[in-house]
Amino acid sequence: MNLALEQRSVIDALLGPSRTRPWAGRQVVGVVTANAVTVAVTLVAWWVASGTGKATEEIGWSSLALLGAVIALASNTWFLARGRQMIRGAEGVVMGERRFAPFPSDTVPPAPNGSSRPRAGTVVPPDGRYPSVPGTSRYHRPSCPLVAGKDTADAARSAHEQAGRHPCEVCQP
Amino acid sequence: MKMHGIKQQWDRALALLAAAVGALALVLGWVGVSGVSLVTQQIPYLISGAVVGLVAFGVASTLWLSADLRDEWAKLDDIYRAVTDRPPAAADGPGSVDLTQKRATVGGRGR
Repeated sequence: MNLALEQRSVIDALLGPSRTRPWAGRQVVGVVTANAVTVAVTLVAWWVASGTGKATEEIGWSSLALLGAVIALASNTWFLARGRQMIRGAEGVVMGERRFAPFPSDTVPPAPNGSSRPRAGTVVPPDGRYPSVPGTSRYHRPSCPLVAGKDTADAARSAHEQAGRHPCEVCQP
Repeated sequence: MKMHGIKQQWDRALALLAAAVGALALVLGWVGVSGVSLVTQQIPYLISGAVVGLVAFGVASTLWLSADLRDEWAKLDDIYRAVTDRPPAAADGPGSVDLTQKRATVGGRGR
């Protein structure tokens, strides 16, 4: 399997139509089941405890209900952590795609043959000068969000590299 | 209009409902415990009040946080589709329709 195909299958697994939310179906079923079991255990514990009249037995049943609550809380925490983990993974995929897409203000008019999306590497600032924030070690495209709203100094790529700066990993100038 | 909002935000609506149930269970449990003097009569109220309240609040917070995660997922999906020039979510399948609906609501909430 070539790399592009592998990459596509990972993206589809993360963001494709088969996954419209951060969780797989079995994870949702798992957390719902855990909560349903907890509710059932609590109801049974309450029902039995309220009919015994003996403190020791009631404490035993209330411990069982508490154990059920702990199981439910643990499964809910796991569920949320899993969702957060999937979102982190998807963010990585999206940012990976973003690097190869032109930044909005860098886009050029569509070519006559209909191709409207130039690759990032073909887009350069009009004056060939790239901004960098003084005191930092990276230079950027003018539209890079990492320099938006900051005081920047523009220079040619060669001047930046002579000064020891390297291209920003996000906008990849 | 209101029903439409509840349908789109069913997870947050359920979270509010679960929180209300939890609060009610705690209050009723407290009232029950304070109304009887024997420990053997108080313990069942602990189960039906404290434990049920705890579980209900746990479910409520899980539902609310999972709604936030789903919104975040929908935003990522939007960005991914915009970057890759993929067709709109609704064209991809029945599951994706949720994302479109979520997206509209998320925008409305200013998140």
